[in-house]
Amino acid sequence: MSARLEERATGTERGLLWGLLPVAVVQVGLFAAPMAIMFLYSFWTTRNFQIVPTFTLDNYRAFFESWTYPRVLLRTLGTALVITAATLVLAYPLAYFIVRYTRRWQKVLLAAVILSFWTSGLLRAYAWMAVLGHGGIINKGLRALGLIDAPLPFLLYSPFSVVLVMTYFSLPFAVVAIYSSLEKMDWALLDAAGDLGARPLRAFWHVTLPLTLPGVVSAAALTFVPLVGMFFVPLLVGGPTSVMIAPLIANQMQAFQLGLGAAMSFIVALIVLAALALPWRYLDLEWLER
Amino acid sequence: MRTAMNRREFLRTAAMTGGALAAATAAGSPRPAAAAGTVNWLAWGGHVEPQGIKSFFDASGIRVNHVGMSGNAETFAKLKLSGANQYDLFEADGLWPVRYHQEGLIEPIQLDSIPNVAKNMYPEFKKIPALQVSGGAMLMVPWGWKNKIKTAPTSYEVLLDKKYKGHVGFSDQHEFLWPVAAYLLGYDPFKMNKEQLNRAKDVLIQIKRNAPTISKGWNEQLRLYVEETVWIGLSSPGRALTIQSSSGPAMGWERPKEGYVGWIDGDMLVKGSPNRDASLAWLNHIHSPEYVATNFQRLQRGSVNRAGVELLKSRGMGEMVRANLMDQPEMALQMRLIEAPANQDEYAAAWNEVLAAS
Repeated sequence: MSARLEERATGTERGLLWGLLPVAVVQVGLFAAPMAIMFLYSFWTTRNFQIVPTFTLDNYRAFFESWTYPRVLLRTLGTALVITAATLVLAYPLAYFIVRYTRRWQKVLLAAVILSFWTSGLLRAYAWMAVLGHGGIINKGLRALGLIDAPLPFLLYSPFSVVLVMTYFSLPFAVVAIYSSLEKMDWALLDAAGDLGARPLRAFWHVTLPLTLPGVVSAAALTFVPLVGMFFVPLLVGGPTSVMIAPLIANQMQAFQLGLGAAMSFIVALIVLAALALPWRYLDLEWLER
Repeated sequence: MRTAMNRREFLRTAAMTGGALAAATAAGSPRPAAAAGTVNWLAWGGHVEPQGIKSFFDASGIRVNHVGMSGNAETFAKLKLSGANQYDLFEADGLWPVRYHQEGLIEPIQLDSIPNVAKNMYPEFKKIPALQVSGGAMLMVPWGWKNKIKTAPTSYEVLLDKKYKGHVGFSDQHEFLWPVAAYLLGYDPFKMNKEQLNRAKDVLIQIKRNAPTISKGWNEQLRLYVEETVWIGLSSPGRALTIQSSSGPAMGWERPKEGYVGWIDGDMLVKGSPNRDASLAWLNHIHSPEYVATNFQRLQRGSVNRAGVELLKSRGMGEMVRANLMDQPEMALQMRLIEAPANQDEYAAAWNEVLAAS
C-alpha cells in the first residue's frame, strides 16, 4: 500500500516537473541566458567598438576606482529609501481606510488606485511636468493670484519633484501589497485589545502593525527595487545634479562599453539583493507567522 | 461547463501560445531581408512620410518597412551586435558612415545612378570628400543637415556665465556638447585624449550647473525655450523661428567664433542586401521634390535637395527656407562633421562623470 502511495507521489512529482517545463524554458531563455551573457560581458572589455574576450576584473575595478559611480549609487539608494518611506507613509493609511471604512466601495476604490497603471508611465511623467513646470498649472495659478512673481524653482527639476513623482508611481504597488495583508486580518483582535484597555494607537502599534508587517515588507520591496533601476522619471523631472545610476549604465551600453555597463548592473543588483536580504535576516519570521 | 485543463491540454496550449507569441514577435520585428518587394529601412522617425510610403507602394508595389532608430553610437552598437543584414537601408550622421564602411557593413553608392538624386541634389552634397571612396561612390546618400549654433553673443563662454544660472540649455546629446568644451580649450572635439577629456569634463560640469535640467530631445528643449525656462543654448538657426512660431520669445542666433559642429545625415545601403534594387528605387522616391518638400516643411533644417527647396519657396515658405539656411548649402560644408571618437570608452566614462557631478 505504502509502495503504491510512494509510486503515485513520485508520479505526481514527475507530472509537476513536466508542468513546470514551459515556465523553466521561459525563465532560462528570457531571463537566465541573457543574464549569463551579460555576466560574461562584465569580465570582458571593448576597445574601439570591438569586444575583447579576455578575462579581466577591470570593469569591476573601474566602478570603484573613482568616487563617481559609488557616489551616484549612494545617491540612488538614498533617494530610493526616502521615496520608499514616503510611499509607505501614504500607502498604509490609504489601504487601511479602504479595508476598514469602505466595505461597500472597497473594490471601486482599489480599482481607482490601480487605474493609473492603465496609462503609459511616460505620459504620466509628462502630465506631472505640465503640472509642476515653470509654465505649469501651479506656477500659473500662483502668479495669477499675485502670490508669486517668478515661478517656484523647486517644483520641477529638483529632488522634490523626483521624490513627488516617483512616490506617485510607487503608491499603487504599495497600496495593493498592504491592502492584501490588511484584508486578511482578524479585526476581532483589535476589539479584544480595546476591551482589554488598549487605546487605538497602542492597539495599532501592538496588534495591527505586527500582523500586517509582511504586507509592509512586501510593499517596501516592491517599491524599493524598481526605484533603484528607475530610468525615465528622474531623467524627465530631475535636475542636472540628481542623476541616478540607471542612466549611467544606459550610457555605457549605448557607447558599446558593454563590459563596464554589465559590471555596473551586477554591482547594483548585488547591493539591492543585500539590501533586501538584511530586513529578512533580522526579521523574526516565526513571530510574524504567529 | 468544463473549465479545468489537463496537463496535455495545458502543454499544448502553452506551446500554441508560445508559437503565437513568436509569430507576433516576428511580425513586430523587421522582416527578413529575403522578402522580395520589401525595403527594410532603419531610419529616424522624422524622415518618414506615411503618404510618401503609400504613394511609393501604389506606384511600385514595393512595401517599405520602417523601423525607428535613435542615436549614432547606439545604432552602431546594435548593428554590430545583431548584424546589419536584417535591414536593407539604414541611416547615420556626419562621419559615422566611415565607421560602417570600415566594418564592411555597407555598399558605397554612385549617387548619379539614382535619377532624382542626380537631378535634384545640390552638387555640393554629391562629393563630400570624407564620405567618398575611390571611383566617386558615396558611403551614404545625404538627406539633410543641421549645425549647432548658439544664440548671440558670439562665444561659448557665455554658457559658463553665472548670471544665466538656471537658464542655460544642456541636453543629453553629448556628441554636441564635447565640442563646446573642446573649442573653449582649443582641442579637437573628437580626438581628445584622457587628460584633455578630463579638462573638458570640468567645463561641461560648469555649464551643467547653469542648466535647469538635462533635456531629452528637441521637443523638450522647445518647451523649455517657449516657457522661458531656458534663455540661451545650442541649436540650429531655424530653431529660432520654430520657437517664435510656437508662441515663444524672439530668439536670435550667432555662429560662435571658436567654431561649430554639425551633421549631414543620410541613408546607407547594406552590403549584400537582397532588396538592393527596391532600396535604390525607394531612395529615388524620397529624393523627389514632393517628398522632400513635405518632409522638410515638418523637419525644418538644411536640405540637400535643391528641387525640394525650390518647391517650398514656390509654396510661399521662403522665410522658413531662409531661416533654416536651406538655400545656402555651402554653410553645411563649413561645419566640422561629428564623428565617432576612437577612444569611445574614455568619452563614455567622462560623460558619466559629467552626469554624476553634483
